[in-house]
Amino acid sequence: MTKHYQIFKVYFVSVTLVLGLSLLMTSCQEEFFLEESVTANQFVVEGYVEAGEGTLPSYVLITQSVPFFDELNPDEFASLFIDNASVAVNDGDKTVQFTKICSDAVPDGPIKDELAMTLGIDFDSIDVDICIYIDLADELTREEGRSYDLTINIGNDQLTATTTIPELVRLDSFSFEEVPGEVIDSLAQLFANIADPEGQTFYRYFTDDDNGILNTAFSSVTDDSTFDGQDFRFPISQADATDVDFDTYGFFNVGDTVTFKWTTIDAAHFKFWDTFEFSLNGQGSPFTSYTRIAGNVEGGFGIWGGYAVQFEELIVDKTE
Amino acid sequence: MSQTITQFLRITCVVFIGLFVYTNGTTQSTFTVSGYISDGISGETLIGANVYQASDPSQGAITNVYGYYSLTLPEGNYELVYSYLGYSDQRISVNLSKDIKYDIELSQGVVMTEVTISAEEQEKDSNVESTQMGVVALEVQNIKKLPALLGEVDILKTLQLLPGVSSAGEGSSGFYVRGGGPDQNLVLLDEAIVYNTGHLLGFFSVFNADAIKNTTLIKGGMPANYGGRLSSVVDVQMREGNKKNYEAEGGIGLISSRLTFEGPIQKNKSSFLISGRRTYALDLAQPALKGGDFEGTNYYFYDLNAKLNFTLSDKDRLYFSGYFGRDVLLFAQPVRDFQFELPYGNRTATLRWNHLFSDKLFFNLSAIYNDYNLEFSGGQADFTFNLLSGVRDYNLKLDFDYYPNPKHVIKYGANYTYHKLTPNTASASNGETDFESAFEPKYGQEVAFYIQDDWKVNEAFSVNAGLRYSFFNQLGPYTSKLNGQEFDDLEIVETYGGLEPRLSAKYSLSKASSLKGAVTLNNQYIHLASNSSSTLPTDLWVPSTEIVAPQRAVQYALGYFQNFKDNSYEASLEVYYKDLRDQIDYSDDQVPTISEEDEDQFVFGIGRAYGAEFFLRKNYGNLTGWVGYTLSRTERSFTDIEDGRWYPAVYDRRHDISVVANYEIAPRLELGGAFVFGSGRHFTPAESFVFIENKLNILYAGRNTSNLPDYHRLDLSLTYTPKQKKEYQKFKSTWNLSIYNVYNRKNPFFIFYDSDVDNGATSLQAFQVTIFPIIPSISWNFKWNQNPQK
Repeated sequence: MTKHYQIFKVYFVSVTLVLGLSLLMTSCQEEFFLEESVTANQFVVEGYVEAGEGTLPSYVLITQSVPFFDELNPDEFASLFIDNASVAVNDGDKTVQFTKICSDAVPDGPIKDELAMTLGIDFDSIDVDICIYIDLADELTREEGRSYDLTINIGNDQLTATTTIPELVRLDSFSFEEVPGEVIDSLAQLFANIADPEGQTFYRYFTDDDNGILNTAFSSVTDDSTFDGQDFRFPISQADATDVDFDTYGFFNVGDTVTFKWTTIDAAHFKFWDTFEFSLNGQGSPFTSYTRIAGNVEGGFGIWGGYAVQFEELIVDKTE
Repeated sequence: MSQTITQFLRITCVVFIGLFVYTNGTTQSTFTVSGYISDGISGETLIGANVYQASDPSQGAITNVYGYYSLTLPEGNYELVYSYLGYSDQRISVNLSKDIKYDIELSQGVVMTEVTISAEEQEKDSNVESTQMGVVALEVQNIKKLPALLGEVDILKTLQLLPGVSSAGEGSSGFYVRGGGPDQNLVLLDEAIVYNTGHLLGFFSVFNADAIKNTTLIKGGMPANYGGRLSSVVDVQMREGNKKNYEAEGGIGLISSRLTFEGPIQKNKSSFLISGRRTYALDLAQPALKGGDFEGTNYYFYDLNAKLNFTLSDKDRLYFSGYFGRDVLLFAQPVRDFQFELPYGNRTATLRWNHLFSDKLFFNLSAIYNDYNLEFSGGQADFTFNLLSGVRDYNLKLDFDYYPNPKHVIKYGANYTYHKLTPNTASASNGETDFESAFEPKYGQEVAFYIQDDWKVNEAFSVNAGLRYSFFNQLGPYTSKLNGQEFDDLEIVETYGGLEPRLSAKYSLSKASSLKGAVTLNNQYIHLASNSSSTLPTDLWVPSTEIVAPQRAVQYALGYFQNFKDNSYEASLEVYYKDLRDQIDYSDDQVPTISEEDEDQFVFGIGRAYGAEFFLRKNYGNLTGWVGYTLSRTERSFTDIEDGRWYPAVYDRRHDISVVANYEIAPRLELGGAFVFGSGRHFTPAESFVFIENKLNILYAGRNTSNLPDYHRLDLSLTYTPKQKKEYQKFKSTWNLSIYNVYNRKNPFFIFYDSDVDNGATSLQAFQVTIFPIIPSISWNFKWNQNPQK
């Protein structure tokens, strides 16, 4: 519900503006040319370590930021990926050196599928090599309550980050119900129930989007400030699809099988996605100021995040 | 609290009795002429009217905000002149061999020529002669002649046309004064603080011009009787109502209509005024929304002003004034069972008692209540939510004006305010689980004592020396966030305070020119932090607490004042430097949330603002108006924002130009115009973009390191008064045609970014949105008077 507040805040501002002004005058929009400036690229880290049934070995992507004025064609996209890094993760007991594998060498299977989702690319359709760093032998001890130190060396640059996998707080039941308002037979709204423990916890979830890829909704993270220590039932939105229809946003198609990924994350990991999504969703609102994304990577930008994961396969059926 | 109030009253009484004894114990061969100066037609008292000796204009007095004057002179025969801008002078001969009570009424309607007689100089050269600097008074009747957005006459937008004052954004009634934040302006309506000055996200101010008599802006050299804010005072006085005849006034505009009714309760003794305004643009759209996806959606705002005043005796007057205003947004989407309601607004009530302890000692006691609250409630199906925030004050004020002789005007008084500030307290329910946020309202009390003397040392030199002592207590109930200590109701949690010296001085270089200087120190105990690029009704007022220290500022100002052509033109150059401490902002990775109190998300820093203001004003003739130019810089530094780098504040405007003119083309046709130019507002530009989780997101450059294009706009208005059939007609009307943004300048309201994929190549583009193109509007205004007079 914390997120409800954010949604409503942005929402009411937009609605007020629309209501108040569109009736009175027509606003006009045109391209605006920023002052040209020289911007140095910075290293961008995206790496995860997960614990739980069905989770994959840990991996790290290292890219570079793109200066605002650059245009990025597909070839240049591949060149964003850093392929000369040394990546190591310490799980408290041992240090594991990650292996670089490039797109032409990624074996078919779940890892390739997940990378395809994360990168948004079809490995079979690109000609250039995209390289990632992965705990290929799955040597890290991936479990709840453990911390993981990431160290990346690229030439003379060093990037470091630490994350933890907190204890998983599972969702204990699910139900598909009629959508609010006018009934639509072909759509259902998903509700889940959680027994939230005392103390601050942070959550993030993913569902299949309408392309069948695990993705996130408008707002995918929340803390438990509105339901701390309670049994709590709440609606879950389906992940963003390409076209968002406000009338049917977040609802599931009856008859579909949905993969649902529920995770518990630590505070820094929450802060990253909270700022990331607020920045993303604030685009286009006249009243939100800029939001700087709070990464947890020293020496660069990005996220090294731990997830405690619960996977569920759900059939969308309102009769159950 | 009761202990504090007792202490407060005890100290005030001691000071008062001391001065009262002094006043009455002074043996004298001087006598006092005193009374009220008022408008001859309506009986409304006139603020800032002059009375002075015809043969020696330096021997004079000015009416206070209640229209009272007191002039003490040696025994003798005098010719006294009573004058007020736009009114014909009145001269009376007095034999001052005893104290005289003399109330006088002045008549409007004299057209001043540019050639003036000497007796008028006293009034007209107050720009040069007064010790005050950075002070501008605007009369509503002049404001009404200027162009207005959608025909809505707006006092606060007119203030933005003055040097040193800049708009908080396109079309906004929010304003920044000399580099101060929007919360650093003390906006008073009949002494009650107005916490939220805007309707419709700030596009219109809450002040209905028909109910307003006078507006004074003080942007530098704040006198000691004002406090609690760092940057400026906007002192708005409501009209009292016609004491002689019933009168109605109103207007019909594109988005709203207004109606004011006033008249005597007991002729010449008491009067009332009631004034209302409401928008209806979306009410008219309701039939079109019926049956649609958004049936039930509406937006409107309204204001209600009311005032009663009674002359109880020669020595006692009683005033009651109130304001009630609301914005209401209703959003409904019946098909998805979704709706919310967002009402917000101010309420103020002021009860004032004027008493004359003697001809020289004027006393006012004010009891003031004001609140501002915002509620946001709604839901979808079983899910409901409610969000509440606000501020509520109870205020007691005692003010004494003491006029021992023409060389001194001494003011002293005391002020007590009890604050209750409600943070964003949320409650929600999903039908099974209820949620109540843990945030409790915060309480505080603010106490201030002040004394000041406006002293004409000699012909050339005057000084206004004041001292204000203020303190603030955070009060319980409260549980300390620092050590867990629990505080009971009214128990003191934290105390802040200090002396606030205020000094301004004037040295006359000639009859028409002077040098002025001022140093003022101010404390501010109540704060507003905003994480938006403009001011919003959702911005939250917070008190000083164990975590949030008061804001402080010292301002130094110097000015050269010169009048030309027998005071027809007044000109000034003022320079200032402002040092700001304990400034408040949000960190740049802040995300609004109800899980953390705002004060826990604040960062604290310092600021500085400096600049020069040029002002040239023409008050008389067919052409009146002014030209203002400000060259300024405003910066902030916060340790937690980019390691303390000094950056230009969003309030910074390097160049700001305003040209305002009113020209009487013919006796019944007036042309008004306003041109504004301002350096482009600072903003934080996108620097680069990244892909994470296959989503493109933006990394930003340093805060406020880029500028929007320069802002400029010309507005014009034409006011036509149809010919009257009779000279003294009961019903009169005017037509006002306004054109906002005449040459359709596309000033950017905001910038946003969007990614573009073209032939497989991704790029980021910036777009600017302009919300106010050229906007013509027309309004019809009328006035009815039961017994019209010349």
